[in-house]
Amino acid sequence: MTELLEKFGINFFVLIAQAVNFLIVLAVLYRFAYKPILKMLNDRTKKIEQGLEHAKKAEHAMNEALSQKDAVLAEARKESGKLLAQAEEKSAAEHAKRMAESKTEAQAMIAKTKEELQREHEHMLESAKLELADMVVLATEKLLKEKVTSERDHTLVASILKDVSK
Amino acid sequence: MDISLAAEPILEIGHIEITNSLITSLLVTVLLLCFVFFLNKKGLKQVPRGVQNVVEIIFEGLFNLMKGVTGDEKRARRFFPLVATFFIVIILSNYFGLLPFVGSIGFHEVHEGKELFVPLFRSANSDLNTTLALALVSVISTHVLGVTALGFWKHTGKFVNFKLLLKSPIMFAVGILEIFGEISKVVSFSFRLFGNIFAGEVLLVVMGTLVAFVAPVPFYLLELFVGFIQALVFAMLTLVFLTMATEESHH
Repeated sequence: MTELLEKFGINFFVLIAQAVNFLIVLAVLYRFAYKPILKMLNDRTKKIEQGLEHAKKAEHAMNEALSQKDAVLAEARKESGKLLAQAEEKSAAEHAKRMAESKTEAQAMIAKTKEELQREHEHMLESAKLELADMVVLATEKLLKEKVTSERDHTLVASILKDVSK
Repeated sequence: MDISLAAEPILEIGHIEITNSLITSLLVTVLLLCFVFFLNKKGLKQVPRGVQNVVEIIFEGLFNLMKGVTGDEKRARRFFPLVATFFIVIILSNYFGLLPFVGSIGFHEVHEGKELFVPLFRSANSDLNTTLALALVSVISTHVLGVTALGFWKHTGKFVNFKLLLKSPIMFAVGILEIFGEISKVVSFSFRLFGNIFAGEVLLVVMGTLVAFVAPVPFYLLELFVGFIQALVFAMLTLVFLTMATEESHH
């Protein structure tokens, strides 16, 4: 055993020195490399995750806003269309009403005029009749040149009038 | 050409011998620490630049690999410093051993009547002392972490469990065998790394003496691969043993 150790140059001092060496390296690396670097890697992973989440949220919000915008626009369009249709309808109704009103007015006017004309006509006819009757009386008086009894006179006038009205 | 299995002593201070592999090891350590201090002085940034990127890639890759092996992030985080240090120290030592001045700069020494060439630097892991030290640290730390994770009695109960003595003597004997398993872990850890790296050094020396130009290049590439694989194997085995040590026994 000792011969084997000697052959391989096993030296207790060197052995311990190498082990201590390694432990020093371990301690220094732990303090100055592993701890800070692992911590930073961890922090960075967290930060990136956070950033990704934020980006996701922002995208979501943007999509929502976009869809909201579309909805609002559609609503506005619908509303304006409705308003326009209403206005059109209203104006059409007004127009129709006006038309109807003016028509009835015109008709009333026409009717009135017609009536007036009729009345005038009748009046004229009546007055003409009366005048004619007088003229007939005068004519007959003149024609007969004789005295006629009042009874006969009346019957004559009546018969003449009857003729005239026919 | 004479390749010594043992590292050659360069300096002797009293009874203490400083070997060429220890010098190399110290040099690698100092360079690594300088690099770490440099990195720290520059400051870590949330948005990484340059060297920090490379360090982060290595760390993140190792950490994800460890998460896969241990199965949970908490233990990966706990074992990361030890396992990563094994990986970094071993791979740097292996690659440092491939640099041209390692093994070629040295002096001649008359030793027992023979003139020997003693290199000033020798790849750290081609000395059994280094690998044995690493193996001991690895195996002892698995027990330390096993005890802190499970408690002293539960951990030692995996090896010597008198409650099992009457209930099932076979399981008790298995526990005793596990102790020898721990010793063999040290041996296999140390000799695997030492054997691979020492063989690589010998291979490169032999190829270099046979054909000085071009021919050793593929072998250098092979040694780069071996250096990486051995560092990874050492770190991953340590991780597996750590994981097993911190788990409750199933029998």
